[in-house]
Amino acid sequence: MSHSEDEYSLHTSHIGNDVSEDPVQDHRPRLLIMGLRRSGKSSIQKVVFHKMAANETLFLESTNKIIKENITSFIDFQVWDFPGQIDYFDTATYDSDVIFGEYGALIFVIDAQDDYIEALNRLHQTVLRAHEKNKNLTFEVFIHKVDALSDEFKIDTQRDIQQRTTDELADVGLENVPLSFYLTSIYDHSIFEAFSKVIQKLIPQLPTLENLLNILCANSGIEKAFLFDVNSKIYIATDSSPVDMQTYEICSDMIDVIIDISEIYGRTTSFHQINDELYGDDQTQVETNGKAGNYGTTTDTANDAASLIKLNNGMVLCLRGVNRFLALVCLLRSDNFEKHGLIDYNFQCFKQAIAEVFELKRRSAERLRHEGMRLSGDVNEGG
Amino acid sequence: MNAIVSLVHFCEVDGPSVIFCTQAFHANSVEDISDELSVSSGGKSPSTGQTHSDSSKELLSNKKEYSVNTNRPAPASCASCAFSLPPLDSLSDAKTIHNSEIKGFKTRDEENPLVTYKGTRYPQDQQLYAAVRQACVRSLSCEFCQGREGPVLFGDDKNGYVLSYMFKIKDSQARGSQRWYSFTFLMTDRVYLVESWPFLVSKFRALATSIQSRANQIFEKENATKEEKNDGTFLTRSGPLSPTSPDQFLRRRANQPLRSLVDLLRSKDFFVQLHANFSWILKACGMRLQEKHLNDQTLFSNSVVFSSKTIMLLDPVATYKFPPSDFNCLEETRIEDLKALYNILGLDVFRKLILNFVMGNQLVIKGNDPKIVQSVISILKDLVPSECCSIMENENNYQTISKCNILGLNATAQIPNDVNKSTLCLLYISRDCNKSSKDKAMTNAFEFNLQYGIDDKDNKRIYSAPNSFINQLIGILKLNLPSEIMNTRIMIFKEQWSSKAKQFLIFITKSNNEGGNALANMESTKQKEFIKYIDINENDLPIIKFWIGCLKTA
Ligand SMILES: Nc1nc2c(ncn2[C@@H]2O[C@H](COP(=O)(O)OP(=O)(O)O)[C@@H](O)[C@H]2O)c(=O)[nH]1
Ligand SMILES: [Mg+2]
Repeated sequence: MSHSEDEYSLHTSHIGNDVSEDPVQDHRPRLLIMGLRRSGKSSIQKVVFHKMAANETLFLESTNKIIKENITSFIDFQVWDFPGQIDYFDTATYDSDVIFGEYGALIFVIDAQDDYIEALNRLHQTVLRAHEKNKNLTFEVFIHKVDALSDEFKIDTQRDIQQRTTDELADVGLENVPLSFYLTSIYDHSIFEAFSKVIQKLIPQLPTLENLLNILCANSGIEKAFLFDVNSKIYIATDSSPVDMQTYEICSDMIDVIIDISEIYGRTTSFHQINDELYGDDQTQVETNGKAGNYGTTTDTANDAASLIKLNNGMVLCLRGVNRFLALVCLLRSDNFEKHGLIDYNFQCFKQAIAEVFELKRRSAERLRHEGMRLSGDVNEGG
Repeated sequence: MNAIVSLVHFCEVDGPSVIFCTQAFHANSVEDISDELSVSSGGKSPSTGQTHSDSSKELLSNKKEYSVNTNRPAPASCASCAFSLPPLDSLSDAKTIHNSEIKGFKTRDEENPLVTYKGTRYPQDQQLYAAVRQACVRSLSCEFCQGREGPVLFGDDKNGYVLSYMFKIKDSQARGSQRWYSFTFLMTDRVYLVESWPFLVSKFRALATSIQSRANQIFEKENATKEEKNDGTFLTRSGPLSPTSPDQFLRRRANQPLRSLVDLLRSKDFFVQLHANFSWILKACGMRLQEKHLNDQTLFSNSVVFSSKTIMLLDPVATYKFPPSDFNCLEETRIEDLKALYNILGLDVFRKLILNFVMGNQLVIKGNDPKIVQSVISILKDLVPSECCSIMENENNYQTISKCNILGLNATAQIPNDVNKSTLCLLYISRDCNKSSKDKAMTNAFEFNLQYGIDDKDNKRIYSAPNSFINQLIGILKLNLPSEIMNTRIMIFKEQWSSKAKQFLIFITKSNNEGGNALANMESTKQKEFIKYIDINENDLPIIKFWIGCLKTA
């Protein structure tokens, strides 16, 4: 059945952004977004990766086929948005090995405003069969559209869903399959939070990154630090102090502010290239280096981006560009910020360390690519 | 040609689903042996519906029949994928058939009684069903590209090749106000499908556009009333029933299926029309080209080259616009065209005359009116490639076959005794003075007499072979076409046969070069196989050989 890949163009679909032909990149981790129709899959994908306004999702068409999107960022991954109506485990029509065979996560979206019994049945089926195909797949359940539920009801719903699912899976002997549950909505930050956690599981460097953040926080008097992917507002790592939703929201809003300003005043340049300082009373300095750039194509000069906002509760919100995809956003007391020479120095060290982490990854990818090329070269000579 | 046309839909509830398909059935499927998708049960299926048909057929008068079959339970489906008929009582009071039992349409081809077109939700044949279903899923959720309408071609040898024309229509109740549909045309022959591409695409586009514009109108209307309502009842409508947000409004809709096309387009006979369109497309597409199966690759490519000549687009829409032409110019002394000649001579004489001529025998046309003789000659000469004709129109003495194969002779001239009468066919034709112009029908205004030559009348098997040259030709003449189109059709027919002759020529030159005559026996079986592939009746070989001879020397 090797030809079926081409037949259904599972790999080579041109939908979505820049799908590269690079064999190495083809094995980027996959996020498979599944669930019943109208559960909000496409909305999630649009809101998180396309910055669609939440209420515009009302006008989304229903999805006819798997929509694949390549996300090029600190780690490259693919997001596959499934149509809820089609059973992709139907082996006669689809090659489910190809669909579910890769490293990644399966996100199952359940509409919490609706009767979710049918969705749960589908979830159980999906977990059962996907796990059969690929033991390494992680399962993430988004209990979605919770914006209309009261807090109490949210908790009840989550407990109920969690309970039913674990019971069901235990019945078929799959109690060891790890499932995580999230309460999400596109109308607030919860969807970004949930996505962050999902993505973090796919980052092999996560412990290293967390460690670095811990060191940075401890030595600079930072209360909370997030390492954000700027374009999706997903945070890929944070220090080990507990995440409280408000802090996350304000940090995430900071990124929006910067992006908005750079979109208005920076024209073609994305935020990285702006040296944006909002410090103290009204000293504002906007500087662009004039280079065109967008998602994934910005240059290294973006590293210098920095911005500060003094909050009225005596805290300082501080953003620093790390590399072309990442930014560090941290919250600290303004008296700790007195020593900002030290903070700057620590930050430089942090940046250096991050660069080294990703350099390592880049090199191994390159090596892989070279091997691939040599292989194909051999084939050419042989034939 | 074996194909199936269907309308498929991406249903909000069920995903891709087949709504309706139309398929042609040939009562005796001689050509279909090698065709995977041919439906062998086709022979028996037309009988199921026939008993019910009488009254409704008359009432409908557009040659539609409603057949009833309760063998297979109606497929469970949501309204959005349902296909339905106009209420039957509007068609026939005499009949009390419940809508739920109705399975489809059946249309008889008036021009070819062997063919019926059946329109159902699914094809009966399991294999075919799988292929149609596959085509449906692929076109709506694999080859599909959000936002892109229009044709796409895909397929493989196993499931057949598919031309799919995708289009969306507006529906105020649908998500994103759009619904996706596609016309799929499925057949086994990729080359044929590619050759038919422009034709099919243009027809599908026309069909899609008309559906879309209808849907647009209704969409606009519905939107207008919706706005009106919102304005007018803004204050009064605040009960618990009214949805407060658009999402709630949509959510309420979410669990009930969308409207069927009949309701959406507010056109009760939508599927009747669709079936008529599909049947016509099947028929017209089949008439455009002749499908042939050839094993040999080189021959195949050649045949494509040759047959591209024969692909003359006659738009058969036009053929139904004109009433059949009658003979009304009584004083005319010429014979208009082949059809007129056929009407004058009658089947048997006509057959014999044509057969002798196309096999290379000499035709001698005798008569006292040179105009009539000439008109007969000019009609007949168009039946064979021009290389096969050497004409002497108006001679006073007999000329041998080496000089001409069509000879117009003076009425008094005699044919010498020593001429081989089996290679010669003599037609005497002149106006009948006794009847003259008083007679209504022109066909009776002639007297004629045919002598000599060969005849196949006694060999029943050969006589009735449907694929023989002569029977095909007569089949064409029986079509109710206006004369202009008839002439084009005959020209195409001639081109098809000269293409066959050329293919055959290539075949024999090739096998002569390869095997010499050592394997004569094997050659002849190979040859048999070959002529079957290019659909030549064995008894027509003399025709082919004669044409080859002329084409070679030319
Ligand atoms: N209230 C609410 N509605 C949502 C949310 N996410 C999606 N929706 C709505 O759910 C509907 C279906 O969304 P869509 O993404 O097309 O569903 P899909 O079939 O799973 O791709 C849309 O009308 C969205 O506006 C959410 O978090 N809260
Ligand atoms: Mg969707």
